[in-house]
Amino acid sequence: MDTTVSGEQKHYGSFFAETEYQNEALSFSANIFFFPNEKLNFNLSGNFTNSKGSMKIVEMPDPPKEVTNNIGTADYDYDSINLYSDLDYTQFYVSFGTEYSITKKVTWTLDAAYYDLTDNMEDYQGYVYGVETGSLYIIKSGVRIGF
Amino acid sequence: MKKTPIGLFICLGMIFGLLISAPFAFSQDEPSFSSLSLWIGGHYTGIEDYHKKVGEFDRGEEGALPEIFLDYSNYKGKKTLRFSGHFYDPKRISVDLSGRSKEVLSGKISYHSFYRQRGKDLLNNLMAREATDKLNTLPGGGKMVTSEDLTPDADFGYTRHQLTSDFKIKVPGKANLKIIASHRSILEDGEDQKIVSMHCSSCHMVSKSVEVDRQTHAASVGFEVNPVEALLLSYTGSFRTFKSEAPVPTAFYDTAEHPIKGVNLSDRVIFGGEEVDFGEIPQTQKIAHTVKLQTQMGKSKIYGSFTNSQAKNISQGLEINSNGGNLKYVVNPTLKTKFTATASLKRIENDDVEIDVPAWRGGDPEQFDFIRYSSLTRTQGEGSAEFIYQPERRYRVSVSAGYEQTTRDDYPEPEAEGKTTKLKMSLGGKYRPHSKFTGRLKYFLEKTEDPAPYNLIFEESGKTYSSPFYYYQREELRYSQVTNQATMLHGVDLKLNFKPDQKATLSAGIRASLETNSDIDTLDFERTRLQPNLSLTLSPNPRWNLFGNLSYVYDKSNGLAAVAMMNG
Repeated sequence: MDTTVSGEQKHYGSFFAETEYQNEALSFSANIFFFPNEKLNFNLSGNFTNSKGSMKIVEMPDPPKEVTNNIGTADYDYDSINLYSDLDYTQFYVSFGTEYSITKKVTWTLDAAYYDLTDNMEDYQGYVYGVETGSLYIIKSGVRIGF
Repeated sequence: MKKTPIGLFICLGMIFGLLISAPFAFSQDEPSFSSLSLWIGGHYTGIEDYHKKVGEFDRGEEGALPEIFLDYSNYKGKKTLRFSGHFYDPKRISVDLSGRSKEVLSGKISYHSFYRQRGKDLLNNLMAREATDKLNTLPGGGKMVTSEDLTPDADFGYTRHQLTSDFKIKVPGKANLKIIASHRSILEDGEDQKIVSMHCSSCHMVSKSVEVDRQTHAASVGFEVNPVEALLLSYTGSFRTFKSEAPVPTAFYDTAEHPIKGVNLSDRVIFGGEEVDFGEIPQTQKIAHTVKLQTQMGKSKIYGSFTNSQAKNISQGLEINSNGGNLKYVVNPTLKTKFTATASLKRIENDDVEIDVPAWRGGDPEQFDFIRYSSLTRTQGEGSAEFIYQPERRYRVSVSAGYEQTTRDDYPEPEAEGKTTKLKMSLGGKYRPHSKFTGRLKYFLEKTEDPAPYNLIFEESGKTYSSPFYYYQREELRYSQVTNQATMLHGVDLKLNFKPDQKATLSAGIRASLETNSDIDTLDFERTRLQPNLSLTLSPNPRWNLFGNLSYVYDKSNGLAAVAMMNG
């Protein structure tokens, strides 16, 4: 029975090199409330976030000839493995709301919200879940009655 | 049809409502005020492209739905009763009922639910095969990675139901005795993705859909008592249990054979060619007892607590036990000074796990049974002291120092009792020349000895085993230590606050730190963190309010990338 890993085997240890990993997140949010009169009010809210992650290119040492001679089919090119750590998302949210008092006990409300996420690494087609770019909007309206 | 706790909520709500409303019914002498507000409307949800990330906590369905919100409040003297309910969609409902009857009984029960969408691992990158020549013109070799999705149309996600209740009762006739009881249940039901990894003939990853039916119940009871004015004692006993009611998923594990030569490799795997349970979620429970003490003696205050806890993995018969105590002493020697000292000691014991592996290759003398010793089994001690001096109202300075020691019984090897020690120091100041400006600056330092690096992390270069060799022998070639835990940390925290008048406030700040570790042969670890922020509040007149915040986080660290070189 063949009990080796497979065929003629030899082990040459690990090659390793130093690299760097970097995270950045920029976030901005704002809320504005406006009350022009006792019957009417407006609010506007927004949030913007850009999150990035990246890894510096891995510059591995050249493998010894003993290794390249014995494992000739490998290309020993590690220039692109850092790209799997590249992440770049932009999230944007904006909402608008208004209330108008029709009478002392009846108020009409209108709200709208828009959520957007852009996966800025679309060229890589997403590593796990695919390209995650998408958006969602919600429009809401109703009447509040006080008793 | 899934069970939801809404029925339980209604029962608890009726009991609580009766308890709270009874005093209202029998006391007609006080005037009552009540308000009822009803909002009726609807919402329309629109979706574009991939919505599972941007709408992670939305139901994920396009279209219009009716929506209703009800709020009721009643006040009568010191008695209050409030109810609110909100139906957003069938998977997002909230109901809250709270009340207070004089100062004797107060309580709140609530039910909240929402839906969480889960993304799906497409396994797209898991498809590769070894080349057998440099130009890749010949057919590939036998080493490969393949993936398979058994449920391509599955839509993963789960609904989370949370039911909580919280009661406080002052015992009649015992003005200084208060009984506290609370409860929380979390039920999650839906569908989730599980990935089965099969190995030997080829690396074969299979995606399956499995049922989600997780149940967590937690309850605590306790009391607070003031036997004398300057002494507060309390006890809390808590119990938490978790289990999954979903059937244990099964998967057919590939028959182990060489994908090219067809050689039978079943002696290299523990199971193959059969349906096997996988991904079983263990049933767990935790019991904890906490005693707290708070007392005042002259200018000094003393706080103390002791907690005993026992967590069990019932499915596997494993336990984690811990005992820990904290003490805090605060004194104001003069009107301008404050001194705080803290001390804590904690002991955690985690059961060792015996791993029983079947005889290798049908009885080969090499045996791989082992005991997994836990690095969580440890004794932790901490002590700190802080001194604050405020000579006048305009400025204040503080200095603090602390020491921590963690002794792990079985790290880095069984009974080694490896120690990690940490010395902490900080210097801070606050400057407030007038009511329009406040500035705070703090410098902090942490010096750590032996921050428990990972041992034997990669394989030694230049050392080889003669052919043939086995995978397990690679363990013997492992050497070196790597960690992302620093031995030295320097940091500053600056906060500035401007308030030129009552209509505007501007705040700015930055927190920065540099962590280093030069104790490891293979890496001079370095981590830099920067967190500046700026916020503005404007209220130019009663009709306008503006709030804005800008923040940035920068985090950079180095590390090692390592690959094994072997032709097998």
